[in-house]
Amino acid sequence: MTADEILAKLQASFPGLVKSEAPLKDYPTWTVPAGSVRAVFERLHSKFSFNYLDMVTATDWSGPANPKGYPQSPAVTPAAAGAPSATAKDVFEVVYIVSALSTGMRLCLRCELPRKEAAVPSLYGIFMASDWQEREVYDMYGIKFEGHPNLKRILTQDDQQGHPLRKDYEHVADKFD
Amino acid sequence: MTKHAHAPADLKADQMFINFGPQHPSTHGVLRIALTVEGEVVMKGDPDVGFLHRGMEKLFEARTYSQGLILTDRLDYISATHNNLGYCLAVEKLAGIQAPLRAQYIRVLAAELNRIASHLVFFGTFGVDMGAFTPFLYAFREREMIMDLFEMLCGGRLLHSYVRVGGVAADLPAGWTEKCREFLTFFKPMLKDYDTLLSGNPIFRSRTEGVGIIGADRAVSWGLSGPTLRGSGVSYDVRKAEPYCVYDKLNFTVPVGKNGDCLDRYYCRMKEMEQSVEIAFQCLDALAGAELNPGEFMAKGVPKMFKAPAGQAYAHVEASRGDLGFFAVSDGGFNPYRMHVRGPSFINVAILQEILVGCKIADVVAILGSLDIVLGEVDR
Repeated sequence: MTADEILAKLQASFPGLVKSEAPLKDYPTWTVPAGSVRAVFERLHSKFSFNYLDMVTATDWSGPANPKGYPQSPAVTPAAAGAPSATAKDVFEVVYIVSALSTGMRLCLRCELPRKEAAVPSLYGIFMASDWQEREVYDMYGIKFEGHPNLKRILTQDDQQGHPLRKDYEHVADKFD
Repeated sequence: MTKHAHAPADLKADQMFINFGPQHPSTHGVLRIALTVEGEVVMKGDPDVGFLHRGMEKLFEARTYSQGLILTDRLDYISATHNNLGYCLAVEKLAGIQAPLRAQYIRVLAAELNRIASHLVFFGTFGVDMGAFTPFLYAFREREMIMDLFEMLCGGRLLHSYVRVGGVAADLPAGWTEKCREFLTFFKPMLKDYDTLLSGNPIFRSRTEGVGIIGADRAVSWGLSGPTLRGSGVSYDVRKAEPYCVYDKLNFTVPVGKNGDCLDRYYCRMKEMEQSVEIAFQCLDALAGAELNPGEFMAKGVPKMFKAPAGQAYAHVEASRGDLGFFAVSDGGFNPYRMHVRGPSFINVAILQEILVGCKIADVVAILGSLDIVLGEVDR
């Protein structure tokens, strides 16, 4: 079964699920509404044998990174503090890559969230691989994964201020600066 | 990362709380495992990471594509070439650059040599973890020869930055091919020695056989990759599943385990070294052939600073520790707008919270060692 056929079958139950206009290169890419993320993955896992969650990450589309997000001047290149680009939008985009080990088929699913109080259902339980990866996305972006039993910071220290990979993140000086 | 580690409030009277790490020699870096034990038996094991977090993904955003390359060396510093390769493949996909065929063979050759070096570190340190010190000396003697080969190639011994966007930094130096052949011929029979030194040792076997069993379905659900996944009997290798460079033209097999215990994970790596030697020989033969023009090691017209067209790309390679992926987003500028690293160690180490429950304290070292993690890649 090709990715398009799977998409057509899923679209009957999830009308918000559409093909992305700007796909991840070489990957069938779909855009999924935040509300049906868990249900879509559940279906992919149980009916279409997508059993391996490769990657969960996110992109902040609000423009170039604030130079104050770095403890020292980051301007090692002329483009480091660039002007807001045409692609800037006030959204986070959660990116999933999932594959079926039996057929070798790979899919990219994306989900746009408003930057204010961003939240998306967790995949914990369907794919255990989502456990730490969702915690990492929460740590870096502050996106809440609803239903995750242990959603706390993972890479940064537990009293860290702000979420470092947000484009508007500003570094708070500490004793090491 | 937990700043102040306290014993959990619900600790029972006959239980004890142990901070295993972050400064413990057998954690292979700065990993902390919060263990709750009852006598010798682990009731709860909670891995705690982030002590080596350097904010790599943030740093990528402030550097050009070629400057970002040197950061990748510092992810999994035991097998730097795989990191370079994964990063370069992602950037090349994003920018539409095609590396010449000769460069691709050289990349595969360097990657496989690095895989041997990395698995040798595993072999040596895993032996030390299990109380066998001698194999370590043999492993590091052979690894030193590979380091010398890399030093001839690019000047670097640990952090290579040899694979560049568009190809490799330099062509093979004069006399290198012979040295490499000499090493591979010397190394191949050594694998049998390792088996007699360690793999067949009764103490080693009793400490690894049936310890830390991961079932195939659990391994897949936790997203494990590399020998850690294949030890459980799942034959998933990026080199076969989604061949990059010239892996589709090379002849090799993917060793898999059966039971998913520490011994299977260990032995998968030993068998993989054998396959790496075969691949390296095939690459050397191909490089000696007439159809690969000497000197054609870099794609033409790749500037030091270039803009990648707006878009997103994901490329992944089979690194020594598993499926290493780079997710790159460009907004059309000189810098990556977003660069995410899917570190295999980061995902592999998460399963500890499930498999440590019920094992003995001494087995924690065996299980952790058999996952073969590098903290540079876990914490990024």
